[in-house]
Amino acid sequence: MLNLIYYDLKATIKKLWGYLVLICVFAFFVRFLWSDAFMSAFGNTDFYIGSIIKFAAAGFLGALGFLTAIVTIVRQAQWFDENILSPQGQLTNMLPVSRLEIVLSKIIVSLFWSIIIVLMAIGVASVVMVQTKIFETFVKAITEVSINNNIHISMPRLLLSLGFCIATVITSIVTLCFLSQMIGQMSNSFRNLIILLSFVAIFALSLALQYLAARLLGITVPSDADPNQLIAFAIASTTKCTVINICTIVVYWLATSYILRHHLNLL
Amino acid sequence: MTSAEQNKKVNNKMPEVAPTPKQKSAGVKDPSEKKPKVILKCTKVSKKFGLKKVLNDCSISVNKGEAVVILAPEGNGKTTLAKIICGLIHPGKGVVTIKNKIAGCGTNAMVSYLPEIPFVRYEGNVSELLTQYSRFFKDFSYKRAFKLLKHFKISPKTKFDNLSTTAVQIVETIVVACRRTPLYVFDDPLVHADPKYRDALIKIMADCKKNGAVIILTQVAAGLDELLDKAVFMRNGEIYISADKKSFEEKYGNSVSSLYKEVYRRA
Repeated sequence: MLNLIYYDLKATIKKLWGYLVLICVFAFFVRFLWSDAFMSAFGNTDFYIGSIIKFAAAGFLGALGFLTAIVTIVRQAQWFDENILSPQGQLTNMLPVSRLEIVLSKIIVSLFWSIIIVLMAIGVASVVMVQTKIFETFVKAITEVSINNNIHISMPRLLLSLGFCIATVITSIVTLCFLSQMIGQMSNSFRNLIILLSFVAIFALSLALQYLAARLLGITVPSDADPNQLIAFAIASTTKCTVINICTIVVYWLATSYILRHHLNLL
Repeated sequence: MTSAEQNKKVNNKMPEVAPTPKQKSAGVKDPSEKKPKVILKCTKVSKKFGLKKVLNDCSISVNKGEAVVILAPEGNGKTTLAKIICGLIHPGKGVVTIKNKIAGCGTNAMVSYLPEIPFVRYEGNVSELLTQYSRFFKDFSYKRAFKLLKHFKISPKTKFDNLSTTAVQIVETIVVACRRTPLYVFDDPLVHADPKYRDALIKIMADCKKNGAVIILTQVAAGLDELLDKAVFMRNGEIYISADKKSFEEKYGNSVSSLYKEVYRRA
């Protein structure tokens, strides 16, 4: 099992490290653009040019971050296809390990990358926002929400619970990609179409089931809540949402392994 | 020690005597004759892909130390049969057992498989493949593989991208043959082989007979007469002729490789 994780990690690091380094470097560049040192280079008449540049750079950083997350998901789905369903699968599926272990190692690697993306987002936000007015406003808002709603919210706890919730959401999307690919490979024709349709169908179904599960666990949004209460509700529900996401991942894992074991169509 | 005990001791030490022809015809077995150990047994294996029947009622059995060559031109079900034997595809009908275990991921440790299409990662190098094999397969002999690579003048540091098709096939044949498993399955091992390397590759496959049973599926019969113990001719997914080497020579008065064109010309 550890060998599988090692090789999956090695293969995905080669595909993804470039994007992460790029975004980290660009974050420092954006931080420089938002500093007084940069803005002082523009006179009073050219002030707007400096503003356009810094806002454009910030927007570009946000888009780059979003794209990096998408690329991470896509690259992992590509690696799954390459390693299991393509000619390389002739070796992978002949390894002396169970199908459950093969899929589980990819899910563990996907969770690792999801956590890396979340940490990267926190790191980039810290680099850009720390010791700026935006950061001070954010901290004030969190303090207000916790006082008004009589709940204890600390920054580390907030980041940890929210971060892990987002990581499990990303991992469940990746695992759903794996399951859709396994469903698609059962057919000899229109594979990509079947992959897409099964992804959409299972995603919609699991959203509906997750909503029902949330209702059962008492995670219901108050109908007349104001923004403060909504934020407090969202923060309080992250742990339960994480549990639901993990259950979803387990279901996808078992289904993917079952199809891999009984309906592999390696032509 | 009493005389009865002494007699018992002497009788126990007496060598077993081979049965006379009369006794043999009565069914008395020669104790010195070892019972052939059946490694692979395919019983009435059939497979359909959609409406197309690819295999029909194929039954093969291979004993330890035997080399069975399955001959057929392209499109006659050889690769499908190989994959069913290895457990990569499930048979529609019939059973495949390897040492009395149904073929699947449970028998991966007992099978060393060389597929027709290369399974290597072209971004990696030869040394990485050897390391991967030694990590996953405890029966892999790194030393022997290294020695064979040296014989073929292939450096372990070479990337697969920089190797010719022949060289890639040689590397794959070496890693598969350097495992000590009860069953070796070589699917078209000589199709890309340069004529000057054919004999060396055939010798590598012949050495595998010391460890277990060898199955070679090929459309190139030349050079395999010395190696094979049994030959099977396939046509349209069915077994057309199956006999051991002696029977072929007695019945047809020709070697198996020279019969190949005759068989498929008539068909």
